[in-house]
Amino acid sequence: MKKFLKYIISIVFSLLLIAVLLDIVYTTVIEKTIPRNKVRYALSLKDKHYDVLFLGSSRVQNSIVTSMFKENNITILNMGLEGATLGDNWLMLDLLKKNKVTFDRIFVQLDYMYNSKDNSFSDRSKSNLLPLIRKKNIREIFKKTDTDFNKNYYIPFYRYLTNSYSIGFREFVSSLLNKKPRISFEDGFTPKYGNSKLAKEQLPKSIISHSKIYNKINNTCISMGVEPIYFIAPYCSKMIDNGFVKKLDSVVNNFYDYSRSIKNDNNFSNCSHLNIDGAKEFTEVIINDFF
Amino acid sequence: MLFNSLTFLVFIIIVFFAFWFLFKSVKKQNIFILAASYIFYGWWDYRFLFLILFSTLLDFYLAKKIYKSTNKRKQKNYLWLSLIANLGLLLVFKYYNFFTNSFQDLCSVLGVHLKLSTLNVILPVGISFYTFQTLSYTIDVYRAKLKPTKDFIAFASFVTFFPQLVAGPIERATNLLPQFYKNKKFNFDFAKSGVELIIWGLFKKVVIADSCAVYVDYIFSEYESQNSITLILGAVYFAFQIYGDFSGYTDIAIGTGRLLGFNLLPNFKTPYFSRNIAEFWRRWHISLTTWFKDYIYIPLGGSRGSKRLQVRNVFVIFLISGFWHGANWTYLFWGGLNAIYFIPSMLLNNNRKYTDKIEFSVLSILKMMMTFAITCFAWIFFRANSLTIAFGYIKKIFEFDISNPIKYLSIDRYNIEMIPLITLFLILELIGINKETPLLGKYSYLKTVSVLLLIIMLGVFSNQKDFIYFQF
Repeated sequence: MKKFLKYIISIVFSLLLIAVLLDIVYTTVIEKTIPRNKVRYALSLKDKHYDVLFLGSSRVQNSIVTSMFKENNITILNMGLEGATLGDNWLMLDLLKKNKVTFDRIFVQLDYMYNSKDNSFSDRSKSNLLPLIRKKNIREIFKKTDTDFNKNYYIPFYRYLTNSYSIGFREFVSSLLNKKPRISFEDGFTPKYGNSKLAKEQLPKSIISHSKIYNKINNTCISMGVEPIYFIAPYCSKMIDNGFVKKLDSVVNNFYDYSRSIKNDNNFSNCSHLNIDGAKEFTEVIINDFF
Repeated sequence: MLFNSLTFLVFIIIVFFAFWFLFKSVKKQNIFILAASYIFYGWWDYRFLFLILFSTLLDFYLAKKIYKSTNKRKQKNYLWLSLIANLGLLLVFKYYNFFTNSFQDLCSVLGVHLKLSTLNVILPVGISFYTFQTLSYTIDVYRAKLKPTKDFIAFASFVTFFPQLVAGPIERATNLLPQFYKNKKFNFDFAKSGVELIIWGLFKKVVIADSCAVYVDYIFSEYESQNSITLILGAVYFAFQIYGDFSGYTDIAIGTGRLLGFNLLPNFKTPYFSRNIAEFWRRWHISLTTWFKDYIYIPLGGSRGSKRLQVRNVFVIFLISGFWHGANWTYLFWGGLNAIYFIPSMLLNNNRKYTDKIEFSVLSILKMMMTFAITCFAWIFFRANSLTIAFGYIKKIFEFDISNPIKYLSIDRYNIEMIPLITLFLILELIGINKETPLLGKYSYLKTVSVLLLIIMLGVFSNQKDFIYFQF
């Protein structure tokens, strides 16, 4: 038995050693190479000024054609993130603010996600930042918001294991090879092509009376000297509104309803996402309304 | 409690130390194993523990009755009682809704619209495994191959032994039960081989099976928009997913058993290196195949009698095997397809042609590839949720659409990425072809640590999946 316990201890020791070494190697490679996601891109920007910032989910990422702004000499950041929560939008804003990135106008897309009661980040945003958890400013963010903070911070390689889908081996190799991300973050716009069969979708029937995370976004924008512009992005004709947009308008300041601004269903990739033609049409509307 | 979870790691550490340090006598060790097994099962759903207890009590009692009775008719009645009770449980929990819905569908085709009520129950994990295990005990006692045990605790431990309770290997009383009578002495080499099996099993599960699952799930759910190459790769990935998943589970089960001094039956012997389908079935899910052979195929006449009878027996065995996997027409079709594959080699008398020794001549490799190809084709039925999907999937393959061969599965994922990983796995399997695991032999420590490194680097831990065979 003694021999076996020694054997097990040596295996556990090897495992720990592997975890520590991999943690160091992965973190160094990811830190030293080009940002491969929007959250890390936001971190890499310092002391810059843009005319416009767009925050939101994939409904911003796929809808705001940044090149059209640039053609009008408007500098722009499209920070729409697939699957983003309002917590992610605040995180992005906070990182940009801390890095002294300034804007003249900030657009924040809102829809059913206004109803989310917590201010947590989506797994995707969280995992994009996790490699940098040992940096002071990032540690503070996770300390306040991450329920797994102790495991992620103290157990070597734990954060890479539990988020292997987004920051595992594939991401490590891509970073190591300096592989460019699929989308250019300077652009930030990812077009969708074609249109699938549009399914019926519904907005919620009720709205929460008080959103902490909305207030946080609002306050951060104001502390940056900008009054945020909130808007709801277009939906196809099959979307059942349930009076939600009106309710959103009643609780959100400076709110613009674009939910029915694209009439042609052929301009949708699916009911809540515009295709490239729809995105161009919608961007045109925004430029005409605000610039 | 999943084998690849932190909960199980804590559980097995506690069980290991308590077993070897706190309980010295066989009786106490067996009581402890039984308690640990009930906790292991109850962790999933304690309400179904009564089913195991019922099966255990019934077969313990009936086996004794069969043995004591001198009247053949009475013995037969006791056996029938065991069969009806055990298979009845399976029928209610696993097949009742399938039969009801199928009958309803048949009636509606004939113009009769019935509304029969179905059961709203979940399938108890492992029911197909422990039911077969207890049945084999009663049948062996009936056939006078085994004396019934007087030790209820040993018998209950045999039925519920946690490493193999929920997904096998389906043990025989002749192999496992006597191990509960002997006082266990710790053996370093035996326990070390157990650790190596556990690590190799984890590699198969979290690196091979769960990585393949990411692609398989996507390809099968979006098959209508995939090209032919992607669909072929989807079937190949599933072949490795199910093999990695199930044989990985088996390795962990056997390894865990060895940590406690028990030797469980092998269940897989590198099946994808088989040269014909008969050899494949001698290397795949061995404990189930031999169960069907011993308790159904041979009593039906096996390979004796006329060719017509032999063909019938093969069909019966494969259809039952398919149906054992699940209450869905896809499994039945999968079973039937395997029977069709098997029959030519049986009729040509070359189903026993290949023994355990694998040679790698050009002809052998071609035969292996052919056997693998038809196996993958059959797996499409096993994986698809319905026959319509399976046929739709196959139809799309044969459209020979090779446009845009590298498609995004999701952000930044290409379907060819798995090929190097599968190649690495096949090389490792080849290295260990005549051993239990490739980790055994020279430099075993170095190999074990290297595999641990691969598990940590390449394993899928963010989207952990249940073992596929838990659902059966």
